[in-house]
Amino acid sequence: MSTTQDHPAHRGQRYNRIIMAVFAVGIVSFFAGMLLDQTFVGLVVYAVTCLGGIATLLYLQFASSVQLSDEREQQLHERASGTAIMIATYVGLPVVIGFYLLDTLGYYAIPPVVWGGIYAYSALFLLWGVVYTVVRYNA
Amino acid sequence: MKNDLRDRRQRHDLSQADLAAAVDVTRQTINSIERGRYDPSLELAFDLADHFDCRIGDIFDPNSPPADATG
Repeated sequence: MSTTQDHPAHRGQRYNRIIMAVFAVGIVSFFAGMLLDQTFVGLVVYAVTCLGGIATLLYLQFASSVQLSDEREQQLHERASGTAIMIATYVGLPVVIGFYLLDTLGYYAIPPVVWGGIYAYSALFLLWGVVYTVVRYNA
Repeated sequence: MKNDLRDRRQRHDLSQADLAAAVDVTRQTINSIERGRYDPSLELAFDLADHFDCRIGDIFDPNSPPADATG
């Protein structure tokens, strides 16, 4: 019987969990730093863990033979991404249109922070459109 | 999609982890297939059929609804 602990899918799953744990440590440290009045320390831990995690993910994904996720996991990611974009569309678009209407009609002046959110929201869809076009072109 | 993967695996005295290692997926994927909650890709279906030395149609029932439809 073959060993079940060292095959590529299992190894990739283990690496994935470790990296997600590292991200979690960074995020928790960031908020803990703010709560404990150690914002800079929290920010440093957050930056080191998250940037390290991203670098490790990029290396494993593009420069190693490790398979970070199997086909079911990839399908779950695709479904989650599609659902997130769908929610952003059906919930976000009416909200943005509502802000525009209220601003145009003079009932509400959109503050800079909300404009920032609207630009970020628009950039998300622009990014999605570019990625979709590239993926479709290469399919 | 309905399948008899669990029966075949047990007849061959394999654990889910053993079968997962043999076809290079995670144990959770084998578990999801056995429960009819995930339909494998054609490539994985061929790997499973190769492993049990049978045809894809012997493992999977093509007349059953797909996993997404059954929830």
